[in-house]
Amino acid sequence: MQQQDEKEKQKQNEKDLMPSIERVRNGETDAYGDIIAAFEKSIYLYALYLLRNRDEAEDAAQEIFIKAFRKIDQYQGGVFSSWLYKIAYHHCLDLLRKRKRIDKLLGRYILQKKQDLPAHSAYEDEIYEMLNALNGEERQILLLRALEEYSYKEIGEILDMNPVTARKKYARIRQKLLQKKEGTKNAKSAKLG
Amino acid sequence: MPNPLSWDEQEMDELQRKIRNHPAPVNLVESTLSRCREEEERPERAGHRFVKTKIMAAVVAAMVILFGSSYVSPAVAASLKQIPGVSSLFRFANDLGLRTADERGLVIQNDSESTHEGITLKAPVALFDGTRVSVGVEREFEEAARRSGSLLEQIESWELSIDGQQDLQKYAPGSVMSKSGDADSAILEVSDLKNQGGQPFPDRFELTVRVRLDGIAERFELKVPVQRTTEPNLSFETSASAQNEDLIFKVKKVELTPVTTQITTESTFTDAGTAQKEQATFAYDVLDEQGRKLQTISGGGQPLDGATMVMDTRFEPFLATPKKIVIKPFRYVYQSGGDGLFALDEAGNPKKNYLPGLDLEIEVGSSAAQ
Repeated sequence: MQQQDEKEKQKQNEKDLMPSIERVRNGETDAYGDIIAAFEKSIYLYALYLLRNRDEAEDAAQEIFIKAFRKIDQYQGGVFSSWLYKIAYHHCLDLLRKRKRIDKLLGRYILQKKQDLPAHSAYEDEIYEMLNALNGEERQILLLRALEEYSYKEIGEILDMNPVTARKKYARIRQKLLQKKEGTKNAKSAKLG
Repeated sequence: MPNPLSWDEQEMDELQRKIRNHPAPVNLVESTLSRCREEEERPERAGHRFVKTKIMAAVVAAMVILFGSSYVSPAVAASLKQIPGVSSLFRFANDLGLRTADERGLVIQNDSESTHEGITLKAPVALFDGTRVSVGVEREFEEAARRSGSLLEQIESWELSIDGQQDLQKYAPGSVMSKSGDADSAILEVSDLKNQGGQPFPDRFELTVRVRLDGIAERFELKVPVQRTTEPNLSFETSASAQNEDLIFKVKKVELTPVTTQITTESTFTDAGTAQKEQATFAYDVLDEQGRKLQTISGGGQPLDGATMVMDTRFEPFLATPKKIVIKPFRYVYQSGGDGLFALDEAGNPKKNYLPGLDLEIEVGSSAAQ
């Protein structure tokens, strides 16, 4: 029941935002503040769980909103947040891909700065431990379910995936996470024993 | 009455609730809106046709002087290079390719500059030879007393756009900023990933570089007209390969231009678990048949999968087309402590452990496809 209430609330919020979206499309930049305020937390968290770095997540969230602002004329109705998450999905994927790149400057003087990675909170650690049991695509599905309670159809639209595939993958995610949880519990009791 | 949630549903519910209810404070509204307002003021939002017109105007306003041997005679080029105010940034660079480009008149000069809080950044010279775009960047102060630290140290970050497009995914460009002749200059080098599935840069485009300097609130924006001024002397694919128990190493392509030697390689580490770390330490020297070694300039690559990396590495040009190219792979030695710094030898150069079993020799015969 609680989930249904949340979903209803989200639908209402989307409806409430429609006038602001129209105003932005008509050139009122300040109306975009309403849209940012409505989604900043969830888009930031989406980026944070994927990138695992708070500064990068904040930059990514800002870039996602700016990209959406630039493209807002291309929004053709439908669930606005799904449209926004599609941009977020591609942006984060691009960042993760770039991270795997190696850019080298060799044989010359190299300015090397040590980069201290910020520590995660215990709150995040517990979530990351569960996310570690999943592959990239499974993480996306879980995060979209968790942050926006999207249906499999909506998840399929964002990730360019068949809704049936999304549902099957979600069942697999559940299985993997339960195995992970069981494994952790067994390891703990073995240690205690 | 709804069915009670099963145990696993409760667990999933709890995890999702936790993901949703992270207590992080987020306040992006004002900072993002201010960036959006900046966007509004930029001409790109006003439509495609307008953008093109503006770019054309910018190119003209940037006083592009193209010193290409096919465009002007060497004598005219030499006299043009004596114009007061024309930058000699590449002439004193620690890069034979850039010095050669400057000498041969392959450099594009322009007067792009941006000033904030008494500091002016300029991008007076650029070069594009089909393998790399090099942009000379200079810093000037209204009051010399404000200078503290080198330009390279003051640069916090930079962003690029090509012909007004910030979404550069199709080129997947890699970029590095390196030291140049003095503390107030730096060289930005940008390369596409055309040998790794990306698209090549167009022969002519406008590169916008937005730079953040430490201590300055506003971003500096430099619009640099880029034009390819050389064709490759030689470009051919090879099937040369070698392997040992850890690694399969293949040389896929060789491109020689008057200013760059670019080699495309594919390296696969047999242990996928440590491959990413190993890839970062792996590199190679390039020599001609007489043992003359080329200085490495830069490199960039991306993984094909967990264990295989395709990489373009750029070296200085050969003084003359060699008969044979010798490749000597090695691994860099890192300082202990895992902080990613090279261990240096007594002369201050990075230490290398050579892997002689992986040496390759590539004939540069007349059969090479031009």
